[in-house]
Amino acid sequence: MQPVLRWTPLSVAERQLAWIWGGLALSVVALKPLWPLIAPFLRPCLFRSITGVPCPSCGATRSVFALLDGDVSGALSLNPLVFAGTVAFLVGGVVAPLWAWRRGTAPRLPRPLPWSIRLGLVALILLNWIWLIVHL
Amino acid sequence: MTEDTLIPPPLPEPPSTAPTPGALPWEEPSIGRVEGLFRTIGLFVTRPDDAFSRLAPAGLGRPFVYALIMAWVELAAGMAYWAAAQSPFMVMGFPELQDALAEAAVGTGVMVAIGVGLFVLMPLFLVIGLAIHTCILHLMLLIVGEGRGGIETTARVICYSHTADLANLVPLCGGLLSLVWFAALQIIGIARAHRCSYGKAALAVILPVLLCCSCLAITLSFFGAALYGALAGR
Repeated sequence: MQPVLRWTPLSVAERQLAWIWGGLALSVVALKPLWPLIAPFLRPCLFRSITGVPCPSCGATRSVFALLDGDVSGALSLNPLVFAGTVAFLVGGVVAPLWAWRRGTAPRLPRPLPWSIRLGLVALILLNWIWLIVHL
Repeated sequence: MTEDTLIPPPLPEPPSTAPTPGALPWEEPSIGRVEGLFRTIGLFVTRPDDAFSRLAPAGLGRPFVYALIMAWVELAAGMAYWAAAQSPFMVMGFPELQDALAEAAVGTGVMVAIGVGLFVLMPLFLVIGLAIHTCILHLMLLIVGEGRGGIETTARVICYSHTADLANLVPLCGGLLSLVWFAALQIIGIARAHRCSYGKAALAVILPVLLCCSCLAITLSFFGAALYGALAGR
């Protein structure tokens, strides 16, 4: 049976990406006091303004702010997918540069992705959206 | 018979400083920065298909600086148009608007301060925006079964697609023009850089919108059916 993940050497651009990722995660946490000042300038969701129904990314900003404030349950309820993405982003921001520095390889997903994974991703987005429509 | 030994062997050719044929002028070290920028913009405006097929295989620094310049131009255009519309000079010469003049002057000062702040913080905002956009677009590419060039190729395509920010220089309809042009550049760029069909590239770019529209249609159908049922039951 073919393995799902292949391990191949990191390219120069991927090493750059790993360090950018780390820097970005650090900036997002370090500049935490700045974000609430900028939030009022963000445009309201156009989709929700027109339809009254939240879009799949509604609650994302509030979820990230809640997580940065340490309110894990609040962040999770505001947008579960964005919560998971933010946690992955912050953890990856620590792991990716260390990995690029200490290890020379990275895991590769098969291309194209198997249908099961692709459908799973779509289902995840739709389930998250249903959650938002019900809870927001 | 031996060859004439008086003729010296030919000297090795000096390293060429001529631009590499096929590279983007912005990514070509032998071309000046300003000239390279304008030639690259010209290429993305007139022949985007050709421009995206010339992307360097690696490196994110130059594409990012290119996107940053475009974002700064967009911000400057936005501030200039805002100032033109809101400037205290607009109400000068109207004695009945003296109060409005003072208010407008304060407003202009605040906006200039915000503009300068945004200008300074633009690199950070742009990196965050590019990271989020790249992740979403690459996820959509994976869902449609593409993305063989890797996430860094998607990032490069998005950086150069920011050429569309220049459309904001057009007053009034610039924002809308920029939005459409940005989507078109992304579709062309994804198709060329990831070597996939234009159909799949377009699907990846507009999939989030399609997802919203199709789910909205389903939701509205349910509401419609419920309404019809309620009316029919009366």
